[in-house]
Amino acid sequence: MRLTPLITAGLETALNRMLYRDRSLKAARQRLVGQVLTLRLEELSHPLVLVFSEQQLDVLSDWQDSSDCTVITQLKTLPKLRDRQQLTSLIRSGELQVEGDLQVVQRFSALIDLAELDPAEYLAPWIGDIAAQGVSQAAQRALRLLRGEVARRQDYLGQTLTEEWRVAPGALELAWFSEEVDAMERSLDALTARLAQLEAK
Amino acid sequence: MEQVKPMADESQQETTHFGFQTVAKSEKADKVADVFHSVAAKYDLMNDLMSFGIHRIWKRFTIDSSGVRRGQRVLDLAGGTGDLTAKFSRLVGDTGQVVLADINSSMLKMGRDKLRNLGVVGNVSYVQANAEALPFPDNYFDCITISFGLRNVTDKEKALASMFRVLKPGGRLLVLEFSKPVLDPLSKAYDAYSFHILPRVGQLVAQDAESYRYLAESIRMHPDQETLKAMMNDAGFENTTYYNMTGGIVALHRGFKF
Repeated sequence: MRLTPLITAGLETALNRMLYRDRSLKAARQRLVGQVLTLRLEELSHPLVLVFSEQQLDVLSDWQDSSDCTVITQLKTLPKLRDRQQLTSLIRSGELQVEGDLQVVQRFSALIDLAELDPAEYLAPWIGDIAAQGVSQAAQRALRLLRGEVARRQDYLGQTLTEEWRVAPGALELAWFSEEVDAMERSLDALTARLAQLEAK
Repeated sequence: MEQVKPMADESQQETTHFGFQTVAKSEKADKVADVFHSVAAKYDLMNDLMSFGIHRIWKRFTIDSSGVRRGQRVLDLAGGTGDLTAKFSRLVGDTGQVVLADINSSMLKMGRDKLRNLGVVGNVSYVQANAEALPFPDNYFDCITISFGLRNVTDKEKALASMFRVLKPGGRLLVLEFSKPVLDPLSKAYDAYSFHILPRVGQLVAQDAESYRYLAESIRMHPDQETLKAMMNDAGFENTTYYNMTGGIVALHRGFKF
């Protein structure tokens, strides 16, 4: 069995949690009811077809019927869809190709833009509001610390390699080397042009 | 509900399998009915427990392979608690129709209550029907699915012929059913699980070990992938193919009527 059903199942669960639980999003969801949005990602061999209905969003990997809108893009571009203002620039830059009704992707973008991602909200029904908020804040703090620690370790490793052991050039040395190579390239071009001029005479 | 009655005295002596037991054909439907009356209330929970939730992935693959479109008519046969019906209902939209059919009234009631609570209404009908004698006109459905139901049918050939009759030309039948694991070690582990662990889980959760012992036995008595494919071809289906899932523990057979 292919992995596709797992991918569609995961995506469907995540999107429904994000977009179909909050009552305040009902108006934004309503504008998409009955619409079909196909996402063709370069990294996946199968499309991801989002079928919007009143009760939930269904994600399929195969849809024989026509789609209201088809978006062709890459996985890394998907998070950018959250920002409605970026849609036009994404289309202009070629990162996003849209076939069919552009309004469908605009409405979808508006819906995910309105959805708030707060982990405490998902924990609250299980452990209560105060505990959920505490756990969420602690997790965010731990994540920040972890990121800081990783960045610090990267910096230490870089300095050890470039300054202490001198097995790799430092950033400034590399920049200087690149400039020297550029300068040599320019000199070589000038010399080639001069030789050509002399040969012509 | 119309039960298929034997036509003559000699057919009354005809036998079939009920798990590993041999019973008269006329008795099997009642025995299967008893099993499902017993497990109906805990059916969804047991499905999740027994398959570790993988049955959702098997059903998802079935939906993806169905090729259902807006406005089409779908029959979810032996539909039970309506997992497939709920999804089909949204896919065919307001202009389409989904019929959830099951021979067992308890299962049908569970399915109807569950779907109504989920807000799945409008384009879904509920019909208590025997798969061997479907109460629908010829060439009526665009797609028929029977998920984990065919092995419980007394006369599988008759049921396949009945499905073929009500399917429109161009329509397709999808049979999702337990099958034969393709790897020997997996087969042994699966046997140990289904004959030793599964009835205990059934006893613990549904207070019914016997029904789950029947489930394990009925799976072993069900035709393997190639045999079922041949049966579908014999019933008139064309371009019949099957896809093994989870190492052949489950197979999805798909055939078309042209």
